[in-house]
Amino acid sequence: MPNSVDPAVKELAEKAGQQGPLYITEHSVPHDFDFPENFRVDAVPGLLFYEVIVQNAQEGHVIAWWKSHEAFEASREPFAKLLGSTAVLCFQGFQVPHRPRRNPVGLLRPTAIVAAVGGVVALLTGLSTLQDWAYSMLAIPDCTLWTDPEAAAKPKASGEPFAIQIQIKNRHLRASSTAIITPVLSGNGLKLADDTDSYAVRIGPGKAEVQEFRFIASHGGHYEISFEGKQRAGSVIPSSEIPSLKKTIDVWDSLDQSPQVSLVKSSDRSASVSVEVHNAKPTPYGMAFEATLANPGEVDIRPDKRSIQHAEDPLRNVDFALLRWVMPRSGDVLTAQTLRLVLQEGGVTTRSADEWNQLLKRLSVHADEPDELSFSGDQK
Amino acid sequence: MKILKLIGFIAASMTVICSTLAQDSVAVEGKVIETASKTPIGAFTVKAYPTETPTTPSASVSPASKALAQTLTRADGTYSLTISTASKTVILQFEKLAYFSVPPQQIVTLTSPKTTVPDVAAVKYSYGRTVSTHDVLDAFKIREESFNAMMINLSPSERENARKKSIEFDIFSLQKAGVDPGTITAVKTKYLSPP
Repeated sequence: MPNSVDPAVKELAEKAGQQGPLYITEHSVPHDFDFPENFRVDAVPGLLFYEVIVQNAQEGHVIAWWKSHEAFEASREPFAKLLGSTAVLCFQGFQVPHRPRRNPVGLLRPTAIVAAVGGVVALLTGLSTLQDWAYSMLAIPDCTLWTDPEAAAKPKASGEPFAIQIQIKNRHLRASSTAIITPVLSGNGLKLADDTDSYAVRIGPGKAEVQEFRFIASHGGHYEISFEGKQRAGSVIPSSEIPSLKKTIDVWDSLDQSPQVSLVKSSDRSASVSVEVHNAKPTPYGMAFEATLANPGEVDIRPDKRSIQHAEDPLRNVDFALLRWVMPRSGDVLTAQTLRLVLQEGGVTTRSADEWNQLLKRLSVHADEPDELSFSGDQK
Repeated sequence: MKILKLIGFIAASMTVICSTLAQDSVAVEGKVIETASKTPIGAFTVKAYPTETPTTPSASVSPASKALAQTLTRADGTYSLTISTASKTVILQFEKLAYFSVPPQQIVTLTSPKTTVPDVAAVKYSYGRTVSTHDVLDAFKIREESFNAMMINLSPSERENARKKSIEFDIFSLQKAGVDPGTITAVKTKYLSPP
């Protein structure tokens, strides 16, 4: 015998219960109890079916399903006789129809999912549209300017147009911005290479646009360009200034006529001086140099033979010391060339590095292409 | 006593040697003046080259020549070169980067013990550009003023002849240097035409 209600009996009871509530009774009986072999359900009026289950080693239970409570009451005594004198009614009551819990997975039907997703999308789209509209009205512009520092640091040639690319980055992630960038030039000699006026650039949210400006410098030097401009995002928000971007441009002449000098090292009676030549173009005829030291005292200017091979004899009088030399032709373009001079004290004066630096203020180096009208060079 | 005699002998010998050397050399002196500012220009290199044909205006510096002497102009533009009297004439060449001197080369007949050369005018110019006609005319004015100051003891006719000869030498020197014909004509018109 089973120790619990057979599922088939449960299902039968549920089906029977759909017509109306059944009445159930449960009776405690000895564990070896069973109905007589010839017992038939229809022998007890109102009894629909029953099941005998074993509760434990001493006890069994008989569960009976009745057509109604009245039917059970009518057949109560004959049914009790069938169960025996030791049987005890331990439970009676109506069978409540079983309402199975709805499986939540069941709700996730494709149509429901599609509908739900559609609803969410529609909601989000609506919100997004609303938000976009709000941003288009109220967004505060947040653009920044940037340029490649390496490209900007490269020297440019005077007389030749050069381009600087400015990246305008819209840091606002929701709203587009409009920017107008204008380069502001300082000093004479630098101007925009073409007459292109500044124009408005529209930059998408979180995006960047590149605008190129072309310049031309009439002569060498350091020029400062300040890229400035206005930006606008929300239609009801007034336009504002973009944080400016300042760049210093190093422009080299075709031929560097005034090379810069600097002290490299010194002892108390001599100093090594670097002459840095910045040529923007090749020098097919070489270069001629004149280094002139005013008020030289006993100081001579001598060539450092490792970098200057073709020098004239140094000259000196009370007012000036002079060294003239030529440099062979070179195909280098926009590449710094470094030469070395030696300042040699011929008297008894000794100098510290600071004093040599003071003396360097009186040293000027002039360079040009050699020609017979101003520089013949001595044949040696 | 012997030591004093020795010192005296050495001093006397040195005096003789120095005076001999002094007699065998000529000091060539002059000045370089910038046209634009009319002020002396310093740190010009002045080189003296030998020439074998002293009176020929076509005498020029050979590319293979080595300077007999060279010096720097002082801050006031003056210079002084010491040249051996073995040379009767020399060619003076004035050099400074980005400057054109008028004349570019000057033939000087050496006169012991000192030879004074008319002022040289320095014209600033840029490489690859023609020398300004205005500046060259200005340079000739500086030359003329200097020449007149030097020849003050000559009679007017002698002075005029010397002046013309000097200008003709200078013009020839410009032609050799490749100065443009327009500038040469302008100089001739202004300084060689009869008044």
